[in-house]
Amino acid sequence: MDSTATRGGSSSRPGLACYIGAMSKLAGRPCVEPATSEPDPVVEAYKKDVDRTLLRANLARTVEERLQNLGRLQRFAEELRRAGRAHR
Amino acid sequence: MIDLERALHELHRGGVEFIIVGGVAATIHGATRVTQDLDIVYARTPENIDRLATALAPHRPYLRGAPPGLPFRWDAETIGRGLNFTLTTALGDLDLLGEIVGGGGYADLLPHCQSVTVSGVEYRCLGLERLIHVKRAAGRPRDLEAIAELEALREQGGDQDAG
Repeated sequence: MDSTATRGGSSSRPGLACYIGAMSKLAGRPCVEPATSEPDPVVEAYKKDVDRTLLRANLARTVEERLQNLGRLQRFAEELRRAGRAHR
Repeated sequence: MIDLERALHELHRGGVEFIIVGGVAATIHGATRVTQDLDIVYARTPENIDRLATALAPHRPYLRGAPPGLPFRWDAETIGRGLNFTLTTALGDLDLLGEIVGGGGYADLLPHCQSVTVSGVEYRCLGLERLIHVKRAAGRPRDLEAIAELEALREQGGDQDAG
């Protein structure tokens, strides 16, 4: 699962997220709290390594082309997995 | 692996109200990371739950990772009693979410959506800003790299490009 799905709460701190989630459920409200907008030092560190040439190339594509690329990459990854299994 | 085009088409054909979130939404916004499944937030109205049950029934939904042979019944009643379902289907892996952390349900997310056209059909996709917000809210370590890429996309003006 790649989404942010859980029935818990919302926070960049898992413990707090559980607490907020539990409180939201108790209050009968969906869990929609603002995430902090402060820069996360870990994210900032990762951001330095993001290949922005790839992003720019992707942004020059249409949404359909981006999804087609994803489909091609998924199929290729599947092919590699299959080859790896056969090799073992 | 998910047959994206077909999965989206089947949901659309079934009249299901849903929003694309997760990795596919990130791809729509220009992210380069590869995701293997489709995550959607679906409207929890009884009518939409009926439509969702009907649209997916031919594709043999089953609980992903569960041992085979469990008495899992795919129908509106099951969906109504649950909330978030991680499924394997004949179309591929599909996550059906009634709610997401930091974003809430379908109605909460609607104002943060944008339309994208795929194969001539208009779909709702969670906007880049909200996608970053919910990923940050989830607080999962494995999302940190994805968030970095999404924030880099925002700096490149990616939100406008997916509209």
